[in-house]
Formats: sequence, C-alpha cells, structure tokens
Amino acid sequence: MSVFHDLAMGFGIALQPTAILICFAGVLLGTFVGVLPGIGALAAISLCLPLTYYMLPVHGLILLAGIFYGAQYGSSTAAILLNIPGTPSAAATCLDGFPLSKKGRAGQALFVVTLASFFGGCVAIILLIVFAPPLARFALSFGAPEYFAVMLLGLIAASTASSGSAAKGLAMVVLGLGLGMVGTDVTSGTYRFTLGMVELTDGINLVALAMGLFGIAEVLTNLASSESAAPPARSFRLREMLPTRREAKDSVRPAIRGSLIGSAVGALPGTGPAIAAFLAYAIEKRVSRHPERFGTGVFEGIAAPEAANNASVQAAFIPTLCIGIPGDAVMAFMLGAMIIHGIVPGPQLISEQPEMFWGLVSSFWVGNVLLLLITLPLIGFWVRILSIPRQYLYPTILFLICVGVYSVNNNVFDVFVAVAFGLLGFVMNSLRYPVAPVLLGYILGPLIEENFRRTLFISNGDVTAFASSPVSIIFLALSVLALVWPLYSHRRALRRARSAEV
Amino acid sequence: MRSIAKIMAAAVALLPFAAPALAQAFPEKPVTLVVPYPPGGNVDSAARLIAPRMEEKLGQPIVVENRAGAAGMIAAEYVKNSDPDGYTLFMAANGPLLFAPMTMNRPKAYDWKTDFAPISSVSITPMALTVRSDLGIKTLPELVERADSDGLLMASPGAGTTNHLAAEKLMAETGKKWRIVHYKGNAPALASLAGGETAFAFDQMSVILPQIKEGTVTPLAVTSKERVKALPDVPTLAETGVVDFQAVTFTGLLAPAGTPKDVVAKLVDAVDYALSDEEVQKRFADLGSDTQAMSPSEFGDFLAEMDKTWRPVVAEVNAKR
Repeated sequence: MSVFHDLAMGFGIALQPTAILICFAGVLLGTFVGVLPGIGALAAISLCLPLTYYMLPVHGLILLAGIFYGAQYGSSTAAILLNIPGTPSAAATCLDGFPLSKKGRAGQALFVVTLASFFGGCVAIILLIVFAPPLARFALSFGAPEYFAVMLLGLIAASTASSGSAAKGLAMVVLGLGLGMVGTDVTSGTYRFTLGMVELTDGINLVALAMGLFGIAEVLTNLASSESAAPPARSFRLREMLPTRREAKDSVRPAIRGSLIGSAVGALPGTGPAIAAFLAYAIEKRVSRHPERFGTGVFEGIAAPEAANNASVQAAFIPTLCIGIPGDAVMAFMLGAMIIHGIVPGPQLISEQPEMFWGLVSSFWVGNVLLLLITLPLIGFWVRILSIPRQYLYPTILFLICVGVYSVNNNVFDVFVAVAFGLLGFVMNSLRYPVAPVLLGYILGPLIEENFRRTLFISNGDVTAFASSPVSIIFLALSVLALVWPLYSHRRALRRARSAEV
Repeated sequence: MRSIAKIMAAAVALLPFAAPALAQAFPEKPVTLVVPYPPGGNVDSAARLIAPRMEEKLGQPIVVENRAGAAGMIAAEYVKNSDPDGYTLFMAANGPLLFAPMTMNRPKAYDWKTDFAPISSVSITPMALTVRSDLGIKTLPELVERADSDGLLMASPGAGTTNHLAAEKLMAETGKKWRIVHYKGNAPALASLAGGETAFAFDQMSVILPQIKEGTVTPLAVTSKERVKALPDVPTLAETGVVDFQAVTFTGLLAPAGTPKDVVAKLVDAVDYALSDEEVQKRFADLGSDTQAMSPSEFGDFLAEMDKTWRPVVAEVNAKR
C-alpha cells in the first residue's frame, strides 16, 4: 500500500525532534489562545508567521496548523466552566457544558470533550489520508443549490436546538437572520442596514457578536445575580475527574456522529467549525431518546459538538491542500503562508511535494496526541479557575474579551459592537431568551440567502433548480422531514396521552 | 522660573529646525505597514514578503498591521490621519487607494492625489482569463461569442473587484453581454469554476495557475502589457486583437501626505533593497506577481494612469447597482 509508504515518510518528518518540539509549541500556544475568550487562532497565527521565516517550510506550517487546531481544544474550556466560548465554534458546547459545571461535573466534562476532540481529530485525519482527493472533488461538486439545501437543513434542525420556550428560540433565530443581513449584498454590492457607518459595510463581526452575546452578557448576568456561577471543585486530582462508566458510554456514539458530521462540513469550503458544532448538537438532540434533557447538562450535548468542531478544522485542510481553495479566513491565511514559503497548494501538491503534504498531515496526528497529553493534566488546573473570586475573574475576562475582539481587525469599533451585544445578551438572559439561536441565524442566514439568490440567478429564476441534483433533493427532503417530524411526534404523544386518559 | 520658560520658548521656536535632524535619525522606532485586508491574500503576502528585507535596510522592526474593512477605507483613512513621519505606511492596492471613496459613496473621505505621498510600487499581478477546459473553447473571440449566444456564466470574486471591472470593460468594448455571478472572494469563485457552476473567469495568476497546470481550465489571455513568464504561450489581451487594455492589480507603499522628502527617500531605498533580493523576487513569482520598484514620481504617474483607465468603468458599475 502506497499510503503506508507515504505515511511512513510523513512520520519520518513529523517525528524528528525539532518537528515535535515545534508542533508542541504550536498546539500549546493554540490551547492558550483557545482558552482565552475572544483571542482566536487567526490573531495568533498571523503573529507567529514572521517566526516561520526562519524555519523549514514544513516546520513553519506544522507550527501554524498546530495553533489552529490546538485552539479548538482550548475553546471548550471557558465554554464549560464559565459559559463563555473561547472561540465562536465552542458556542454550542456552552449549551450543555455549563449546566454540567453547575452540577459539579466540570472536570468530567472537560475530560470528555478532550477525548471527543481527539477522536474527532483522528477521524478527520484518517479521512484526509485515505480520501482527500475524492473528498475534495465531492466538495467541489457542491454548487449553490446544494449549499442552500444543506444550510437550510442546518437552520431548521438547529433552530429548535436550544432548550426552553420554542417561540422564544425561533424569535431569536429571526433576530440572528436579521443581524446577518447587515453589510454588503454579495449579488448586487448594495449596502444594507449599515446605518451610514463604513464599519458596518462588511457586516457585524462574528467574533464581536459571539463574545458580546456570550461573553460580556454572561459576565454582566453573573455580576447582577448573587448566586455563584458554578461550584468550585473540592479536589483537583485527575483520578477524580474521570467520568463515570455511564457518562463515558453516553458520549461514545455522539462523538462518532459528531466526528463524521464535522468532517463532512469541514471539507465544504465556506462553512466552518461553528456550523459543524451546532449541526452535530442539533442532530444529537434529534436522535436522542430524551431530547428534553438537552440543555440541562448531558454528556451527549458536549461530546458531539466538540468532536465535530475539531474534526471540521482538521477536514478544512482537505480543500485547502488538495485543490488550493481555502474554506475560511484561517485557511486563507494558511494558504498565504504556504505561498510565502514557496509552496503552492493545489491539485499538484501531493504529487509534486509529497514530503510537504505527508509531513504536515502526519504532524496533525502528532499534534493531536500532544494535545491529549497537554490537555488532560491541565484539566485540574482549569477547574481551579472556578475558585477565583469573581471580583478578580470577571474584570480579567472582560479585559481579555476586549483585547481579543480588537485583535481581529485592529478596530475599536468591533469592541463597541461587542459591548452593545453584551448589553443585549444581558437583557436576553434576564428575560430567558436563549442567545445561541441568534448566533446560528447570524451565521447561516447569509449563507442561505446568498446561495438561494445565486441559484435563482444562475437558473434565470427557474425554481426547479433547487432540486436539480440528488444531493440537494436529499437535503431538501430531510429539511421537510425536520420541520414535520416534531409536529407529528407531538401529535402522537398528545393522542397517546388522550387515549391513556380515556 | 522665567529662565525655564525662556528655554521652553526657545526649544519650541527651534522645533521646525529639528525636523531634518529627526529625519537624519529615521527610523528610530518600528515602522508599521498598514494592510487594508485581513491576513492572507495577495496584498498581505506582499507586505509580509518585503518586511524582513526592509527591516535589514532600515535597522528597525517592520510591523505588518491588518486593518481590514469597508473596501480598504478603514486602513486608508487610518494612514491618512497618522502623523506624516514615515512610521505609518499604507500598503495600498487598486480598490482601497483609488476607488473605494467612490464605490463606498464617501467621495470626500480621501483623495489619493492630495492625501498620500507615493513611495514605490511593490508588485504587479496580472490576471488570466480562463475558461473551463471541458467546453472546448480555445480563443478569446470564440469565448466572447459563445458567452453571449449560449449564456455562459462568469465567476467574479465580488462586485467592484478588478476581476469584475475587467469583465465589464471587455463587455463594453466588444459589445457582447454575459451574466456575472458574484461570490465572496477568490476561493468560492474559483470553486464554482472548478466545480462547473460557472464557465469562465478573470483570476489573479497565483489563484488560477494550479488549475491551469492541472488542466481544469484553459487560459485564453493574460491581462498584462507583456506575456507572463509562467504562461509563455498565452497571448496578452492586446495580442488577441479583440481589445486593447491592461487590467492588473498592483501593490505599493504610500505615506501620509506631508512626509519629509528625505524620510520618503530612505523608504524608497528600503523598498528597492527588498525588491532587488532574488529570494524575494522568486517568492513574488510564486505568488504570480512581478516585483516592480518605481520612483515616487513614476509611481504617481502609474497611479494616475490606472485612475484614468478605470475610473469611468468603476463609475458605471457603481451607478448600475
């Protein structure tokens, strides 16, 4: 098998002491920027790029990639402990992660998400090794109608993902869709809802929105209430952080499903880990036998999104490396970094620079193992955050959020946006409106609209174009099913209840 | 006390004379290159490629700072409002420098002629007009004809980009019409072309070269004045005999207007030094760009020429939306 030969060569590069050291530095830095709310991988990667000029190209890329996927491991930490996602992609993890912390299961939750992340990463890497070129071609076959159908399913499935009042949840999805409309219309170049501010012509910044609604709002809510957020753990020994057999068993299938969803979503250019995580969470809630317990602290609700977002960032390398088409901003930067190092990603990369490709892919595995080794012992350390008095903890968090939001575009305007959404989120928390659906509508809305209009533009207004391929037909059918199923199951439950009464 | 006041007054009076002395010492602190785009991409890479060599020449760190947003206006205005001391420079490109105030409907925000002092151009990136190979189209006249009659779709990385404008100019000059599908940036536009959703596109060399090598798309013309080294067999637009214009994206450095001449001269030297490095030239070539150093006045003329050619096209596109 030539794959094994190639892999052996790759590991030959990735297991050199220097490469391991560089990989370790990357994933460690990634973990820290992931843990810190607001500061994302992109800021850290662009700061580290000049360092890589003095390294071998493959080492430079190992470092930058390590920061990228390392950040995914870290981002769940604050989500679980403090209800503040370290990056927007961990927002879905808040939904059940924080309730678990409140139950005193913070250590176990961190343990599970670390293993789920590791598992998700491994699944995506295997797919990358075995199926990279066909997967890339499959992703390319996705046109506007296919994207529309997939995103529509995502929106419908995830709209009902938050717990509590369904009406409030849907209202917040609509609010998110509205916020997503702010900016420049892709099809015509017209400005919408920019209120005459140039800063809004690119839309509301994702990090500012997420850090405001989740981070700043959470801090304000905590300051306003007298009860403490989550009980500090009494012991910090790793042995006592181990999940029970039941908790571990609950997490296995969600982690598998999450990994597959994450790999598929990640391979599609233009999607990203936040969508993967929300989708995995929503599907987990759908297939669960006890969906009503989601949102109260179940391990299924953290294992699935964390496996998904980590699988997604790993799979995002597929289109970037194999066809030279970056899926998101971080990948675009990685592509730029490769070119600066004289590597041109594209269909020829694997054949022309095999040691580059396989060395990098092998380093992903090395990096994931290192992350496992770094993260598990750190769990006890992170759980200690809960014992920091809040007069020290919350100002620190606010400060970090502001720095992080500023670092995205080096623009103070984004910090103001975050503060505004922080106040909005505070009001929403007080009135028990869920914040996650806002983020979801904001992320998916523009993608749905853009592809909806593009489909119609390309087909000259012919509506049948939406069902022009098997992929789009399947996803549209699933969307209809996702809409109808809750109504049906609700009715059936009512009928049963009624017949039981009689 | 009075003597202190006198010394202060004397010091203030002497300040104007201190300027040359300051310039002598330039640079005494890190110099910032403000990039109007997020990290990654053509302009950002250009800044990051010249920064290490400029550092060597100037003896001070060069910081690349990304201030993306509003089609580049945020970065342009930031540099315009910075002190004209040579420590804050604008890593400009076509849109952000020349046309953003017009397309963003804020014509008074800045004017490149009066608000900036040109230092030097850095790179010129030609585009290639390519068509999906499975369509069997081999020449530009053939493409233009079939785009009009068969309704072929063109992919654009966004309304108002140089890629889009080149197509508008091609339509205007040939009298043919086709529909342009806009995407959010180069990557999705390229994906649509490679995936078959669209049929042809203008793309920057670095973006499209791997696809040309792979045979996914066939190059019909390059948009530069001369043929491109990487594609010696592909004619320029003028050589096709269909139209005669150039459509290139440039990157270049500008300082805020009023920056002392000797400071500008030092920066010109530093850019020259960086661009004369063979390794730097090779990296730009990998990016599909040619390094191009110009004197401040040459760069000014170049900008005026670009402005003259493209302003009417931009205005027309702008009016239509």
